[in-house]
Amino acid sequence: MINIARTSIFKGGAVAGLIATLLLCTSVFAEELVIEEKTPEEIRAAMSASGLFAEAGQLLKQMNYDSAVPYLTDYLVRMKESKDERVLALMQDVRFKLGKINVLLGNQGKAQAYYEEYMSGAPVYRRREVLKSLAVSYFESKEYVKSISAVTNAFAPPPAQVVEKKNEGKVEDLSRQERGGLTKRQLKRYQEEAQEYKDEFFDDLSADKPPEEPEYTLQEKVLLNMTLAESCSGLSRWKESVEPYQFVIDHAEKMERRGFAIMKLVTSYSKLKEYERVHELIAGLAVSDIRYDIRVNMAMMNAASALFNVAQYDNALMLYRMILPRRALADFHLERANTLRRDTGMREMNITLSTNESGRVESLLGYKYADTSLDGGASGVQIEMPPELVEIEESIGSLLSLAPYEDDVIYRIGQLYYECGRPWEALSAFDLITSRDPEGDQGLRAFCDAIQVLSSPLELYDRMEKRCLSFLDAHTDGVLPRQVAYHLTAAYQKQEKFKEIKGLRPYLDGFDSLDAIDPSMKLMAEQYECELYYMQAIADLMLLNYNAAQQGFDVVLEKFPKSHQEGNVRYWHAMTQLFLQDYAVAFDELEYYLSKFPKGNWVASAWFQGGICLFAQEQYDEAKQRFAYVIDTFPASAVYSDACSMRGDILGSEGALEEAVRDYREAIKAAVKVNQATYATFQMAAVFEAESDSDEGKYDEIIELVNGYLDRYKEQADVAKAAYWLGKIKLAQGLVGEAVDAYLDTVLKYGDDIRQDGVDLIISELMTTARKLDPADRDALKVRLKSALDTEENVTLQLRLRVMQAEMNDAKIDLGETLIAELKDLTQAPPPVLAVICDASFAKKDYSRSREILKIFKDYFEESEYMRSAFKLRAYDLFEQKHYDEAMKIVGEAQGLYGVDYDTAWAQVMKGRIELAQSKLDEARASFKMILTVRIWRGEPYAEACYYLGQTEEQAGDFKKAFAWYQRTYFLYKGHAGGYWAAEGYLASARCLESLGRAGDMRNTYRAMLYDKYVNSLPQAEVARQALGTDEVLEISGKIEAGLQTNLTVTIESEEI
Amino acid sequence: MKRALICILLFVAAIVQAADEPAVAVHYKQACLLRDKGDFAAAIEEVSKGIALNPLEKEWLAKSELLSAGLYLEMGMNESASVTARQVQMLYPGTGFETKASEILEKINQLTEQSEQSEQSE
Repeated sequence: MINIARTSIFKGGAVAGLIATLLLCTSVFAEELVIEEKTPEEIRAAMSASGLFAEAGQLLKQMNYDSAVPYLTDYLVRMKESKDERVLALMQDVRFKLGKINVLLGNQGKAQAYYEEYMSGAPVYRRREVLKSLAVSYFESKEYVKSISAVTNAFAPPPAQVVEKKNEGKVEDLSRQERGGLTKRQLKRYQEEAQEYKDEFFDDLSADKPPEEPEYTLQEKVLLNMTLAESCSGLSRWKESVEPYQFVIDHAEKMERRGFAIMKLVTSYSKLKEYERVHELIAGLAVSDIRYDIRVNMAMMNAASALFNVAQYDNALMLYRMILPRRALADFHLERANTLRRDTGMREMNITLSTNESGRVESLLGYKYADTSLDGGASGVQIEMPPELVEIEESIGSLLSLAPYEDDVIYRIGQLYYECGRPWEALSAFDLITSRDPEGDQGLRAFCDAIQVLSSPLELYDRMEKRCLSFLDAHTDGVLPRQVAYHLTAAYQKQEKFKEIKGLRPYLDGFDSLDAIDPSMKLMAEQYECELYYMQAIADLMLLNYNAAQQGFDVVLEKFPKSHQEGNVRYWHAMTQLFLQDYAVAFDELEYYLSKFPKGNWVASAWFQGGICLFAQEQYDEAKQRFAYVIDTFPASAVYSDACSMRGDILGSEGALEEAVRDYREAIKAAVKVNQATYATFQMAAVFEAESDSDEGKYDEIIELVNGYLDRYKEQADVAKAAYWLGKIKLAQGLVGEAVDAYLDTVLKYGDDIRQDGVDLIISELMTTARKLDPADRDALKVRLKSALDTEENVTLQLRLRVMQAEMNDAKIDLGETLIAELKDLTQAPPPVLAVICDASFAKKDYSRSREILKIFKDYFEESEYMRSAFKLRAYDLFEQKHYDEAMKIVGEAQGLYGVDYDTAWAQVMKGRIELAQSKLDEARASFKMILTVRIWRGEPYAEACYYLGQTEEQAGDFKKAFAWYQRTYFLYKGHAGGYWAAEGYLASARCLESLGRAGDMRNTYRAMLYDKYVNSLPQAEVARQALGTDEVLEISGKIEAGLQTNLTVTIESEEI
Repeated sequence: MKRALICILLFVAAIVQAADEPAVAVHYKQACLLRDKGDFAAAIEEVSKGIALNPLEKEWLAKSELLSAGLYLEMGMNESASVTARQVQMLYPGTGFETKASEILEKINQLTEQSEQSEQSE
């Protein structure tokens, strides 16, 4: 600025007077002092308008545009009030000039402001030029709407201007105002100087009307169309961009510009989904030299990428294939350059590849630019470089300095192959990139893509696993190992290899800390890791390790609070509680999920499962309401059918059979999974069976229902269960032979599948039927079973047949004992086999596998009727171990599932025994007495109940009452359980009598026991023998042999029991 | 001796020729051998390596892509075969490759029709 000040002080004539005055008033150092004291603004303020104008003119002449600006702007300010036409014209010219200078200086905003001012002022002599400049300037500052408007105006005819005809006159005739503040002499001098210097800027500083502005040249029209097209593209106004791009393609002189416009038009057409036009353009490009332009190549990459993104794979592939490697492009231009060189007699140049210090290959262009000597300088004659050659050589230079893009093209083609369905080509492309840059970003990305291709669609899981594990062995930091582990986990999931997923846990735990990851990548790494731990927990869930799954979900919640998976984790955490039968907690957690994630993935399911929790807690009304809510609110959800079935179950249990059937029908209709339809179908069959008064009508309904189900689901249907129901009807219709044949056929056909629980229902039904067959038919059935067993190779079916055989031969306990030793892995045993093992274990009082068997039932065969045996075995096991609370829980579960079925009396007995063991005598008494009210339990359960009622009273110290119950046991139920409970009753009675001090009655009881043929051969009788002594025992034996029947009874007054 | 010399010369010529051969051609030929042995998986993996190179040698690339389409078909990956053949048609219009690709597509259509018919009859 000091420089400007000096210049203005010494050269600005108008300021000379001021300087002279100052010099007179100050010391010899005054000049310096003044310069330092006056700011440029102050100096300009002190100048006249003509001085400002003159100074600006000088600076422009010196091409010192930046410095001229303040003088020009100050001039505009100074003259703003002027109404004089010539001044106004001069000011317009200044504005035009300021616009140009600011464009030159890169100040687009200021340039636009001056141009806009110019366009709104008058006179407008340079309309076309200003609009062109404005259009380009707006485009460069991304103001596309204004740019479009400028181009549109530029092409539109100019508005008519009312120009008052004025005598322009000579300088001498102009007033000072008309001269823009200049003196006549100054104005003349400037005009002369302008002619002398031919400086455009200076020359243009004029109030005169220039010659009529010419029409745009073709080149300018190309520029304006390109600007218009690009602005339209910038605003995604693809349709409007087509015409101007096409203009550029049709009229641009330069091949590169045409090529670029073609590629941009490809993008526009692809956005407009006019793919045929895209294809035409690309096909046209393929046969032209345009594609040898590097800019066009880059545009092709962008267009190909855009086409790829809209799944236009064929066109994208065509483009990618057209993209040339740098070397090919360079060779093409090298050949052009050498042709020119040959024509001008210059030595040809070549491209040399060399390796730099860091081992990278570099291309060097030999004999370029400066070498303009003929014959490489041998002749010593220098020639002038043709401009085209300079341009070509520069483009080769910039081409060779470009970052390599060839691998990027191969990688993108690989992605394209993958997406369009050429997996092998995709794999090879990814492998190629990985091999070229194994630890680079792209190489690692390609590695990841390759393992995905191996997994899907190629399903080469072994190869994928090998690559992944090898990678994970060597990498522990960053996003990628987590990503690889994620893909491997997903592949394992697809193969249902949940144990293998668990095997990845050490890798997960071995990853470097997330904190060590680049912050820009940390979020992604965190999400992968969160996903991995989540999948670990899901794997535990699938392996039925519910406790481990729960811990796994806890880990996710703890390590990744508020993660993207939190909703899912909360839901599955609740579900593990449900699977662990902690229904109250599960319900609370489901409620929490619903409150916190009202738009989560599992909302409908959470409502439904909440209903299940209520149902399990016997809160049937609440459960029913909940299922009704699911039915009303989520009719399109996956659990809708289940909710219908569950409500149907509750309605059925309430006796509202019609409503239940309506719900089951809806469940069948809406089923999205076959098992939903299966459940509803057979529940409905059960309702029909219970509901109908007329047998025939009932059978018809069931047959129609089951056949409809079989027709709809064909091979997916549970054929065995359907056969079970159809067989039941045959049996009910008296068609026993047909039923047996159908049942056996079904067992032989589907019995090899452990999951076919219908087969197990059939086995149960068939065995019940077999007991009622006449001996000949029974024998025939046995023969058929043996024959099938002899030829059958499938282990599951063999086991089922062996159970049937044992059942028919009354050898179930023996078989059970055999199988306990034979089957180490009980997960492969179907339910009837497990039940046989339970029975044998129970008989042997071997409870060692009770927990395992019950778990297998619960995990795999929850619906199986054979699970009853497992509950019993487990309850006895826990009772023997004095784990009374746990035993009571099992009893509760069994009773909840089976109620007062004929074979569940043991549960009620066990309940009483547990209460007795816990000294809850009133409860125990009530429990045992309840047994005596259930008619179906008459027989052994009654005997047991009486005996344990005796024990209850004995424990209460009421020996008389106890005696009475014991006596009732051996009086009324000696024929049951082989006399076991009667014998126990005798001994307990004797014990009570002894406690009552009635030794004689005690001996009589022992004697009665030895006379009692139901018990005297049992091991317990030995106690009586010991008590009575040898002589008395011999006497009794003799009398029995002689045919004496005793009528010994002991009577004790007792309260009513 | 003369015969041995000729053999050596032929061998050297073969090596030189192989060395000059573009990589895509080498992969293609190897894939043909594997296909002839009936090892379609190995063959397609091999030919894909050449295609993945994105070579400028259009002739060998076209041959390779055609072979790939055929191999996909042999492996029962009809969708992939169809995509590959269609892309051969598009990339090499007016050539013998386009004709052969059309034949493959025709074959795929026939197979699809047969399969649909057998499904309907079931």
